[in-house]
Amino acid sequence: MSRPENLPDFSSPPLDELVMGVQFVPLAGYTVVAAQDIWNLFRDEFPGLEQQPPIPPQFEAFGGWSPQPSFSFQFNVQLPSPRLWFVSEDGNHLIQFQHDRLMLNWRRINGEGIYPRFENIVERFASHLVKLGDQIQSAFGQKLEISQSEVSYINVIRVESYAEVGRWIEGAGALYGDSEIIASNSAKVLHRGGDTMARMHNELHSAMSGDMSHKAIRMALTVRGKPQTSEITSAIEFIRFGREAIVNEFAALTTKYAHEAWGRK
Amino acid sequence: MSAAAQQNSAYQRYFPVDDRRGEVVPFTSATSRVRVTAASPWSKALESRLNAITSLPKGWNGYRSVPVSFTCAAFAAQLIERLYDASVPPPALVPGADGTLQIEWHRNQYDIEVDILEPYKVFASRYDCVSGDFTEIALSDDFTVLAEWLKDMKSARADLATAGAAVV
Repeated sequence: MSRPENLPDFSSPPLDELVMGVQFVPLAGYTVVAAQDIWNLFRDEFPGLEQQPPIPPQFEAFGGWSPQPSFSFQFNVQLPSPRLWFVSEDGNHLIQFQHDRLMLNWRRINGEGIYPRFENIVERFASHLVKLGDQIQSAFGQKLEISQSEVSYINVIRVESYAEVGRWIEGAGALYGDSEIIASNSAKVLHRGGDTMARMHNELHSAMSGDMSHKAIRMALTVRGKPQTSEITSAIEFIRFGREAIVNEFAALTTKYAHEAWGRK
Repeated sequence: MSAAAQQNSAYQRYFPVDDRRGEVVPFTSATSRVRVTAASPWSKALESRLNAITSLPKGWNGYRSVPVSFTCAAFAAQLIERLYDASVPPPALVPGADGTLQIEWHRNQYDIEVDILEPYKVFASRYDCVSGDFTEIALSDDFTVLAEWLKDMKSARADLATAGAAVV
């Protein structure tokens, strides 16, 4: 599928990482032994393997009085099934898998890596989901039932000083122009055709590069919610919806100066 | 930065400079299975109950029952957090034999019961003990109706209190 015509487009966006993922009904009877078969599905493209702590379930609920953006509910003990990273040869792509999630990341490594564009990444993710669905059907006799989808764009804007923030982010100069640090979290509900669709989380932070050589403004935009059905096509459709919302929000939040620097078409 | 963003992101090559502000996580025992953070008083009050019902042994009701699934409990916790109202006591949590969970309020002549069958698959009912009205609805991710029911229950308490009736 091609890029929507009216979506803002940048020739060199400050994108550092793109993550898309789904949460699904946990695999009954899943063990680390079965993880080998899951890895084998993707091993040609993703030969590297790393182990990470599992991500706890996250759900977006709407209505009520008490939004708690930092609320979390976690297992206090290590789950028997960790999150696995299947890493591509160049390190720019990785699949994250655990007993109730599949995610696909594209990331820059040391500032390197050409952004392969959303359309290419989402098509790959859809095919990974089909492979996973077939595998869990044959290995566990269970259908892949997706309960939630999400997509995140993590942008990193290199700066000499955080006082520059107003040059890049609309209205941020007045708020953070002389701040030592920047830390802002906000969220809003997204609707389509009168229906509640998703929640968009916006996180803006001052940041340092891992080698402490330079400062940056880190803007992470995430859209998360329940797809209309538990099918793969619906999850992908949700991710496309989230991507459009994020790109439009990003363009609205950033300045004309920034757009020129990033080559807005 | 939220825990979610940190965990979803593959790399933290650019780490927020305020990361050191990380919240203080209270000590929990090694046998405790769940932990809630940055939570409302309801969730805090229900943490030990959530821990208990997700730790039930198989066959806990004498038959082929299973403990409440962690996924159901996590979704219920999120829902409870959304509905928190300081002027309403926390609900009762009742395990289902099939790993599901029921959230209940029985107050002020109202019975409100919310069945969490799985994430985004919820059935809720309200029985008005005075009028005999019974309402049952299926819910997914929008719980505005439940917030309204709690509001009605709270208002009913005010009415009953004015009339000198028992409110609990």
